[in-house]
Amino acid sequence: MRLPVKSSLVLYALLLGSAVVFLFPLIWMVARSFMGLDDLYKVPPVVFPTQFTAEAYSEIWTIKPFLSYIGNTGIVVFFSVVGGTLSAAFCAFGFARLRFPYRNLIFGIVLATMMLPGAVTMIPVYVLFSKLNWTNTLLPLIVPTFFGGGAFNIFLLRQFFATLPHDFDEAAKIDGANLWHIFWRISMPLCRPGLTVVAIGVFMSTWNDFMGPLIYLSKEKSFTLALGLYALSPGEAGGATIGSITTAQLMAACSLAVVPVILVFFFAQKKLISGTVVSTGIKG
Amino acid sequence: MRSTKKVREAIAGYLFTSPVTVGILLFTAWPVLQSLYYSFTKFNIIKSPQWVGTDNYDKLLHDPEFWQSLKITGIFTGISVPASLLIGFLLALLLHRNLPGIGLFRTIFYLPVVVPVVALGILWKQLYSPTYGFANKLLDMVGLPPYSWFSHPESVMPSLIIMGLWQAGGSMIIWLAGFQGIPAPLYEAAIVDGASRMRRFWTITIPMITPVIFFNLIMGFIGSFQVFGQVMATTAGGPLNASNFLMVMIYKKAFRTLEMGYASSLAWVLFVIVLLLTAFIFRTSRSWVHYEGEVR
Repeated sequence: MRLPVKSSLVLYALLLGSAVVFLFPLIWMVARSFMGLDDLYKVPPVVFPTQFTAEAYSEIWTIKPFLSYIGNTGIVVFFSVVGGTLSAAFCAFGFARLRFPYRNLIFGIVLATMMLPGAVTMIPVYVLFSKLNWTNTLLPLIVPTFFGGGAFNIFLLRQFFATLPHDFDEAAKIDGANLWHIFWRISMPLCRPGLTVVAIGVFMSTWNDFMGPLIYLSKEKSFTLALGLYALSPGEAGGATIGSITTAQLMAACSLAVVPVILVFFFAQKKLISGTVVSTGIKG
Repeated sequence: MRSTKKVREAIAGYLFTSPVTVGILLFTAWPVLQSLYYSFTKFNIIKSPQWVGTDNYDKLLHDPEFWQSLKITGIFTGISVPASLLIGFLLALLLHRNLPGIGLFRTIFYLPVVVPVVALGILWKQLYSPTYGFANKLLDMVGLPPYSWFSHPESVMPSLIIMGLWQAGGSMIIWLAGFQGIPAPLYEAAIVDGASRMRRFWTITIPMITPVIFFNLIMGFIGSFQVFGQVMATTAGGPLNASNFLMVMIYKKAFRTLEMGYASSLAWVLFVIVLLLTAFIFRTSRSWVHYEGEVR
């Protein structure tokens, strides 16, 4: 749609106004992380530091073992992205390209699991992992991702696999390829955009995961970044509070947790929010 | 010959889909049965479950904490789901143009959605801080008295709802995808017929977008009834249980006071509520959701 100059000016004004509103909390977070004590405790509060200092970023490492938190998060994220994406692709390929009895019923059950609240399965799964002595290890956060990678991801990838022409399979079969080759060498490379979206989705949800670590991890050496941050937050976190932490340090730690997701998001945003991937998902 | 080929394909099909079928048996089907059993027991994980019949369900019916929890979860859902759908819709309307720089705006509006929930909570606690926060400074700038935000039972709910609206970009991208799915010739034909901008909006855009409204509503309801992280990371249920949402109550019963049987019965009640609500929306959807190409 082409707009006259006047209305596009109005539109830009509206867009800019809302952009400021939506960006503001993040600006506040970063701005405060660079403040000294004088600026932090000014009343009424100031938005931008009058004196920039990056001290908070060098101090937080001594307050809590952030390197160990980041290491643990890295392990969980890495294995979940690999396990979740591959197993979702594996299942999606089966549902999209192969015929077997009760296929649609099984797929329906897979989709139906999306509607089951996590609260229902949470306690028995916790009991299971605690009987296996897996609490306070990263295993409860990693192992389940290898079992399908989530109904939504299977659904999304199934849509991708289903659109590949059957001629490719036939041609490959004539050339002597088996099913594994068709999956791994032909279908997977053609579905790269879908796989990227799934991998990024898994990255974000595991990086941001809070409930899983909160339930399974109680020893600091197994903490992920999200849980470590939570333990830092004043007033909560099962009593594990630090009395002397400054707002600047707190905001620096938050920025540390936010920056990687924002970087990945910027790198991937064309694919994620162009809407094309989402729309293949909705139309079914 | 033909049938062995079929059998082989079936075996391959089961093999390919085995991660998710095994996963569902291990992490969904069996736990669901187990949780149903726990809900009829007294269970604290240290000792094995003791059968108590329907005691847990009787208890919750007479538990004011449960009713309070259900009430606030309902209020939160009733306000925040429509409000965030509306804001997402308005943003998507603004963004659905081919203007230079529009991609940047999309990114900005979506950015809050990717912020980890704990960071979100800490950040908003700072914004809402009575003396050092920005929220009251903003009120002061427009000449309003300060507000108590997270520190009083009456102001917790609006504060959580506003915080949630910051993430309306989540529904925005789904709306955008929906707009992109409307065939351009519909608009072109309407313009030829002399339909006004408003007229095109009400007779083309809205009916064509009903499947997206439906999708967003269902997802919004299911998600909102299970609000957990954003509450735990901010008020953790307080002050005075004013933000003791259902999931927060279930978590606390299960893992803080180790009433795992009672927590399981609460979880089942939550499940039934979500199921009934979803079924209700599905039922009414027949009269207002329009699917293109559907035979009526």
